[in-house]
Amino acid sequence: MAKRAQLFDGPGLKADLSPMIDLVFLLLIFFMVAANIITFPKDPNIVIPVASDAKVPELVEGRIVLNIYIDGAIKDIKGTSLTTEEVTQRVAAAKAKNPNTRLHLRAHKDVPYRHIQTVSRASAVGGVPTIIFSTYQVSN
Amino acid sequence: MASSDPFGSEQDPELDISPLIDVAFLLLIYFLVTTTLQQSEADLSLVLPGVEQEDSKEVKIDQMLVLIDAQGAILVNDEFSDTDPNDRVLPNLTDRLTRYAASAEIANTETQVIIDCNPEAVGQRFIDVLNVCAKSGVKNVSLAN
Repeated sequence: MAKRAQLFDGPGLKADLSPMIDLVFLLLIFFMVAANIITFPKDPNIVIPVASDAKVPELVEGRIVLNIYIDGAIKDIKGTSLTTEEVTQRVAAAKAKNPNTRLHLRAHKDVPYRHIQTVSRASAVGGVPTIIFSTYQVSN
Repeated sequence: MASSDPFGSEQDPELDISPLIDVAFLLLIYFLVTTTLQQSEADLSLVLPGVEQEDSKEVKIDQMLVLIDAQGAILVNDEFSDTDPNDRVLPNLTDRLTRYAASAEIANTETQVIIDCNPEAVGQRFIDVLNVCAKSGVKNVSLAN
């Protein structure tokens, strides 16, 4: 009995939690930094169309992301307005740096098709024929 | 003499980090509750073989022309297919393109769908047709001017 009491009567076991906290903060910082690499800011003013057979991408590298607003305005992810010629120039410059460049269009679901057509054509003229449309994935 | 030692002479000083953990978990719970999850966006891609010209639209045997009018009605090779602009599924077009893709596979030919969308049609309608092309397994999709 004396031995058994000795086991629990001592100064008490203490878990050192500081390495765990260090690790948690390191992971937090890692994911905060990594999240910025694999995604891009999405303007909530654009309501994108829905499609049932769209695929969620794993990586979005090598993409030029352009927003097309309901009034037909074309802006990049920083909010800079672009003309059709500037789209062509930007696409051509990106293509020169990276041959796998693709155009990623976030077009509002109610925007008239002529605006999508204009940007698609500008991209094709700039040498980037692959166009990716952003959609929300829904099941039928 | 013992009372002059401010830290106590017998015990090592210890930092109590449990309030830090409390705050960290409170912050975690706060962000879990207040964060609105943004629905992830998915890709629907299209590779332009080149912008088609009006005069290059002659109908080959295994080429299908899908026309979208300003109201959102769908015509396949000049026949009405789906006319309800609020219908996202497009059952008639899906059926037709699926059979088209299957027959092209049997005949070992390439499928090609040309989408001729009215400039005033809404973007969602264009995406609907593109989605049906992806669903049916049509590989080559191009845009008419």
